[in-house]
Amino acid sequence: MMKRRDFLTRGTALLCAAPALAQGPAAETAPRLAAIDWGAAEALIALGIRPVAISDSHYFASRMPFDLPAGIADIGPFWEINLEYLSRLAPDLILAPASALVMTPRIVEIAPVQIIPEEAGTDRLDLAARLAAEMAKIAVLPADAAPRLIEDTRNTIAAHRQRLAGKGAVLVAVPDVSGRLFTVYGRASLPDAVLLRLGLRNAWEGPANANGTFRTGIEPLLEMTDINLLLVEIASMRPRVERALTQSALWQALPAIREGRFGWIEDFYPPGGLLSARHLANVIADRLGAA
Amino acid sequence: MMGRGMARGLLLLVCIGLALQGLWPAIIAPPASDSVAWLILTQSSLPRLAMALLAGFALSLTGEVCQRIFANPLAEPGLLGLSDGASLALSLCLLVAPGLWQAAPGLVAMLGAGAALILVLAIAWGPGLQAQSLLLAGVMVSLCSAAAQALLVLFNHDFLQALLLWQAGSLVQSGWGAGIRMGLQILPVIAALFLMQRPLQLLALGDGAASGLGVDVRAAKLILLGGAAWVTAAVMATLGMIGFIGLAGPALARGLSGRARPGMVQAGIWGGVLLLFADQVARILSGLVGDVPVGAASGLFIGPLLVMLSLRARRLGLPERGVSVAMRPLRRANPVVPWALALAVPVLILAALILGRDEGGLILHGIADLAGVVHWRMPPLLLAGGAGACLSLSGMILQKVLRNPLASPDLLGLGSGAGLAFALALIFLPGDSLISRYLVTGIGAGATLALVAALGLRAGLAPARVLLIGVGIGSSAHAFLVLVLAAGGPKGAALLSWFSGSTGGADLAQAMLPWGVAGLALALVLMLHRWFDLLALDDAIAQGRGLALRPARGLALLLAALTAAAGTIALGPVSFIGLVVPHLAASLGYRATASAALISALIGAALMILAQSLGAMLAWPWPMAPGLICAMICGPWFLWQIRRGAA
Repeated sequence: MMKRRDFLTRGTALLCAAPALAQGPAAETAPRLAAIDWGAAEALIALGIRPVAISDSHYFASRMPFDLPAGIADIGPFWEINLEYLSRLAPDLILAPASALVMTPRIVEIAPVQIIPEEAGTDRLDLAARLAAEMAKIAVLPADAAPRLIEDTRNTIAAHRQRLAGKGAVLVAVPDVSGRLFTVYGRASLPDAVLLRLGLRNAWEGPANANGTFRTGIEPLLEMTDINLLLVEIASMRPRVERALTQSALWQALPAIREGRFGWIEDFYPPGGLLSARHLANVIADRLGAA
Repeated sequence: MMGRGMARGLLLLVCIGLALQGLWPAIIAPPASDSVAWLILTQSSLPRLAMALLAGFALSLTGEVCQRIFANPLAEPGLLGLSDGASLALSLCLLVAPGLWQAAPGLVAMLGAGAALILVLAIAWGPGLQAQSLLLAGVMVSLCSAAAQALLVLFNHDFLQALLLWQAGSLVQSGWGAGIRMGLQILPVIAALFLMQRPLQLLALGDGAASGLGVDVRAAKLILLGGAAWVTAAVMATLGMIGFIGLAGPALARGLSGRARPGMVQAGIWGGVLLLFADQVARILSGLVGDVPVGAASGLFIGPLLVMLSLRARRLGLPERGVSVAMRPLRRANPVVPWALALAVPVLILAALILGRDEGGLILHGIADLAGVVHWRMPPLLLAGGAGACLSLSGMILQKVLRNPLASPDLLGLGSGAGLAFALALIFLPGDSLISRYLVTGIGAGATLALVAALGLRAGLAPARVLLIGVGIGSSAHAFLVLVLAAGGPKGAALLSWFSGSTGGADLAQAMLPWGVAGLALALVLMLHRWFDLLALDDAIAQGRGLALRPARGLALLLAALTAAAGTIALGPVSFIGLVVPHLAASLGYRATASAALISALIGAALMILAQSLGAMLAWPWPMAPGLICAMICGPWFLWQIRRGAA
């Protein structure tokens, strides 16, 4: 299995996902942004902006397909921001999900709060693009910064699309530690949006909740012939999951396993934004394109 | 008899029907032996049915054994700290020795459960292995390991899913291996338990009678408990927590047989049928709404079951006199203590304001920083202190009125009710329509309180019945909460943090609320302290002195519930402090209601302030919930006290 960093280093200009921090705006004009919302944080970093703080930044870094730029403060978990520390960092604006106002309402005393809306049911890539455009405006970037990022992402995916024509269906799933249940991604999820753009069929056509996910047993997967199975890796869980899966007679009987159309995707955060989408597209292209 | 026969037949019929519903396609058209349908039938459906019957049989049987040992229809192996011990061992092992985890998770869970049991036994070790000491030690060990586990989870997100899964217990199978391994582990032990039937029957007569008839009470209890623990741990290691069956299986067997003590086999068989039924319902629901784990789903029924038990059981009185936990007492009250405690509160607050941490390490704040420090730190400190006072008072009142040293505010179910309301609001309401978590949890606690009170009135406000109702409603709410969490994604972490008692969101007004409630309650208790002293003694004496029992008890319970609600809304259900602090006050020599109330409130406030200030620094910039810190400080001390008393 190829490591994600190989993708980042070997790719063409189009594939280059590593954000170029040097291109950020001049230090004196740049507003100091604190991101409690991970979607906002990912969009900022994709635009080459370094927020002064990200909630739970270490876990953020471990789930994202890029290395976190140095010098970003960890202000605690999103459910209980360290207010005293955040106020000492003196941000100009706080980017937060609505729930932050419920858990720690006093963030409004530190700086103006921009609520990042949770829009369920819409196309996640469009949503990510809108968020990126908004973040570019907030960070006072040149007018072409967001369109360029969005265009890059589109081009990356479009380039893969040609190679992948007629390659069949893909199922993206997160296995649980028992190896018996799978969180699958259906309509209105980021994997679904990426598959759509790649011209591939999302193998999960069953029910899904507002976030586009559904927890299912392994039985429906047995019926899916001719699909490629991609399991999302959560690093600390992988040994347990692999152990459970190798012991499962049903898992061994999956068509995708028997026929070797199976792989892991590392450093992928399914509810993520443009960089996560690009990473997923690269992994899928690598898996299917080689076959 | 007719009715019982019909009930039995009906339940069996429904179970068979549900099982057939799943197997039906395979029955009308037997699949070819190399087809997918055949694979599902032989590797998923059939093992799952077998697992339900086997696990239900084992859990119900061990529940029956425990209920006889403790002569208590609410006892089950989980009360001895086994499940939390196993769960903590799994998490710890994953952190420090992932290789071992990978090789043998079952072994690790068994070791954890075994360690918890040995600890409990070591603490309660004494002549006859007193049921009271065992239960108390079990509850404390279980609370301590749950707190340690919650800390691990908060700092290792990925465990959250595993923990929830564990708590939600699932019977989904993918082959026969797990079931066969579990069967090999438990069947020999179950056979051995059968050989112990006679001493078990004698134990149910009471320790004195049993030893009079020639039973070595301690040895018999030890062997039986060890066996029950082994079986429970093996089932848990395979499936996760399925708590309901150990209580409900024996109860169902009692109801259906009409005998007070059904045989062990009967309890086991009906437990198997019950788990099969619950799991088949969960299976059918899973196809519609995504996986519904049977452990949590069946937990939903605990509430109605306990409420029914409490309303119908004939003999469910209070202990004649207050049961006192064997604890080394009884120091004389030292008059300096109240003053020292009253001074400790402001001193601890001051220390928490001066000491701080930043990127470089520990720092002392000067005058220049003071405004900012006070602005941010004061509300959480005050909130923790006030809530600590509230919960301690609530626990003190409950322990007096219920004459039960194990009573604590969380037994009223308010914490779970508040948590459930919060979970539902967080997950199902659109983000911006939620105004305040205090409002939502307040509504949840209030609704639970109203429900407990209404049912309690029907039960004639008999304390033991009210307690059962509270525990029942609380466990149903908790099961529902686990279900919601299991489906809730990353928001689960936020809820978990509330559950462990996060304080960071408070402003000054919210922080003062619990102080107000604590002050009012304290004033009332001081005014009515004679009532409480009489209620704690015994009914005959209290009535002889002209106390109207029901109104007095009603008022006391209401007071306990209101203080519990105020504390819970602020901190989440920090059961520890309400349970431990009254014992602390007693060990300092303060037992009469008036002085005990004052001392308990002060100790509660001081402890929580200390815990809050430690929690703000230990893992900076991450918060550690003061409730968990408090548990890690008080728990071992409390266990030590029980040990000294039991010896």
